[in-house]
Amino acid sequence: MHHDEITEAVREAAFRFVDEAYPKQALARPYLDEQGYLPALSRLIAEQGWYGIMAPEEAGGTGLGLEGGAIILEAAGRGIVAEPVFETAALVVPLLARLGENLQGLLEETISGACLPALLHPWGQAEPADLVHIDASGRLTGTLAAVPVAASADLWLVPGRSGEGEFRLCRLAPDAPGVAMTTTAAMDGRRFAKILLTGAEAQVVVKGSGAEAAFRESLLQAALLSCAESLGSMTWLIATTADYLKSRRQFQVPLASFQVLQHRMVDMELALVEVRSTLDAALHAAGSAAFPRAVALAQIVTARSARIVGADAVQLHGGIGMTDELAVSRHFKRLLFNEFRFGGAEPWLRKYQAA
Amino acid sequence: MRYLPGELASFYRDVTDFCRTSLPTDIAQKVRFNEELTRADYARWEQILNARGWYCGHWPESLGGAGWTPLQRYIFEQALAEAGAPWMMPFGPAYIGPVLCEYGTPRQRAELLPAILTSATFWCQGYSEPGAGSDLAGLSTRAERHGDHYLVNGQKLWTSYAQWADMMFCLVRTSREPTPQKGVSFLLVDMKAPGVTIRPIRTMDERCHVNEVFLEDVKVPLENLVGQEGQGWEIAKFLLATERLIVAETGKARRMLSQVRSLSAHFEVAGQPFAQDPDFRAALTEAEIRLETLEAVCARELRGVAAGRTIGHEASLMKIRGSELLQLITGLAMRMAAETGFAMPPEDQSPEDDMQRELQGLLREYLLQRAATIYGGSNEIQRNIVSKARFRF
Repeated sequence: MHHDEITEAVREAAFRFVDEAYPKQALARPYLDEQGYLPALSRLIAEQGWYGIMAPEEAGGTGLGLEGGAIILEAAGRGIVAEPVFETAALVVPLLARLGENLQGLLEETISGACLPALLHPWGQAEPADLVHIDASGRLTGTLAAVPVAASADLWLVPGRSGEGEFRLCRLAPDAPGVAMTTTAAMDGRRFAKILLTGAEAQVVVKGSGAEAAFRESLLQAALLSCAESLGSMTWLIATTADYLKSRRQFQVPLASFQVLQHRMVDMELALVEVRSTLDAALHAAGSAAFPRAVALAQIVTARSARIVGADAVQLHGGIGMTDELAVSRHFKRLLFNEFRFGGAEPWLRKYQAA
Repeated sequence: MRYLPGELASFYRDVTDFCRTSLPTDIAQKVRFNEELTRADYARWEQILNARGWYCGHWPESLGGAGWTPLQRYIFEQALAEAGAPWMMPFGPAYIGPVLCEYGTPRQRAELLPAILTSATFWCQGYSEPGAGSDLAGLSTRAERHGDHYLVNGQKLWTSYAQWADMMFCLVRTSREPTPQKGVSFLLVDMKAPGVTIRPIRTMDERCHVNEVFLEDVKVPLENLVGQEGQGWEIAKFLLATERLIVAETGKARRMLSQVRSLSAHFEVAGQPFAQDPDFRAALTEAEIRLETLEAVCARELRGVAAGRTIGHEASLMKIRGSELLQLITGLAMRMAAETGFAMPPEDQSPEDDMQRELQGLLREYLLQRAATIYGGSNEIQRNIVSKARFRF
């Protein structure tokens, strides 16, 4: 099959899964759910091949790289999937694949859904977190304020630095001594872990500047894939809002007949096209020296566009856009969550200016 | 609030001073942290204000008020809000109270007004319906005469605090007319009457401020009609006219902006407090500019009102700017909230740190304020109003 046919087939299957198979009532889960998602659904998603979309076929992945990742994340955003698609498919799996052979087993288990590792990279941080110190005997100390997925992960991958400033990635059991964890609700209904490490004993998996470069590259690519997730959500919001305006009648006419609202939809569409385009531009720049700046641009543009589309989708739905029951407000909150995942537009503005 | 003329400025100071000494600390804390007040909390504060003669200060003196002008009422509410007092629930004192003062029978006034003054009766407002949002005249909840009572059937939507209400003032359809506004009447419904069902609606801030109210064969005594049948729309417009001044919440904006400012000295970005980050400072300055500009707009309108002018479409302009401003200010808090991981803990689990608690309260407020440009006549409708009134487009 031709490459484009493959990616098109993947896109069709992923969107169909989200539109038809992913349970809509998943959106109505109580916010106090301990995990913030359903493990059974996570396994189903793994079976769809989502988690391994970027990983090599030898490990059980689909081998579609960044482009494949963008498709899957777009689908995840479209369905505001609560399961850890971003954290697994866009962050952990590509990182494991990049770091090499001694992690092959863990990579395969993650792709198959048998094991769920979490990368202890706090939400809201653009840079590799210099939050964890690793002493000479491999014990970890540090505080991580808001880590997605960690509360329900099988094992943790912890980035940190030695006393001399050398990068280390360690493997840590969540129930190891020296680990204290509390959880709290994130604004989109999922869970954050607050983790306090005091001399927790971990296994160093990789270290050194090569590993650090691989880690940075993983974060950079993941940042782009976060834009893809937001793109999926924004696309859904625009379609849904347009449908609503056509069906909702006030003053004896459909709302869609008011030019002001038509123009607002067009402005939303402009914002969306800019996200799609800067995402594509960055995908095309992958592997080149232009990539970091392209990712920065995509992050900045996605942050701005998501505010416009999210806020206007709520506004154009009127009162019902404010309700918890309708998916519109949940998309709005997920877009905010995504926007600040890597610190928001400001750090990327600084990177853009420096690049 | 800036740019106020002499005597209004001094009244503003009096109200601010009163809050400093008389606003209960527990209530002030709840407002500061955006934690939910109970009905009893609201009543307690209202009673403190009533003891000072201020709660219904804008009512005629003959009916328990202090005969304030709309101006004084506006100053009073903004000063309260800026000083950190809770939202002044308008349904009794600002809505049905003035309506009864103007359109009520002596009996209705005698029976209903005292209980508003003492906060014994809690009122809610039954206007919007699923099919009647922006197009309120399209309402279809009907009231049919059956001997000594009306039989009311229909559904109200977005009814704020219906879950606490003893009574609801309601726009209902009593006849079908070529012009829909002409068949609307103003009816007072006992929320405990058989056939009244309340269903809470959770909004994106994860709270239940608003409700659906289902009315199924609800018997309402004929004496609960306010004014004449078919006069409901006129009464609703009268209410709008008195409500208009209160519409730009500059006091609340000031209070929240000062919270944002103090939090920005505490929370950090790129190794320094937000307050020192050039981008954030620019954004704070922008918010200050817009707030002060809106205060200037309001002050100018108030001077006009003091000189005898009636407020018309200018109220719509203030509503547009006021709502956008609240969104802007809470948006600043939201930027800082990324620091705390955007947490939204359940109501019984606030963080121990006061700064985090306050920031999370503002984050929740950011979500709720998405409604500011929708409720009270969406900003799109407000622009239509101005467009017609000002330019006759």
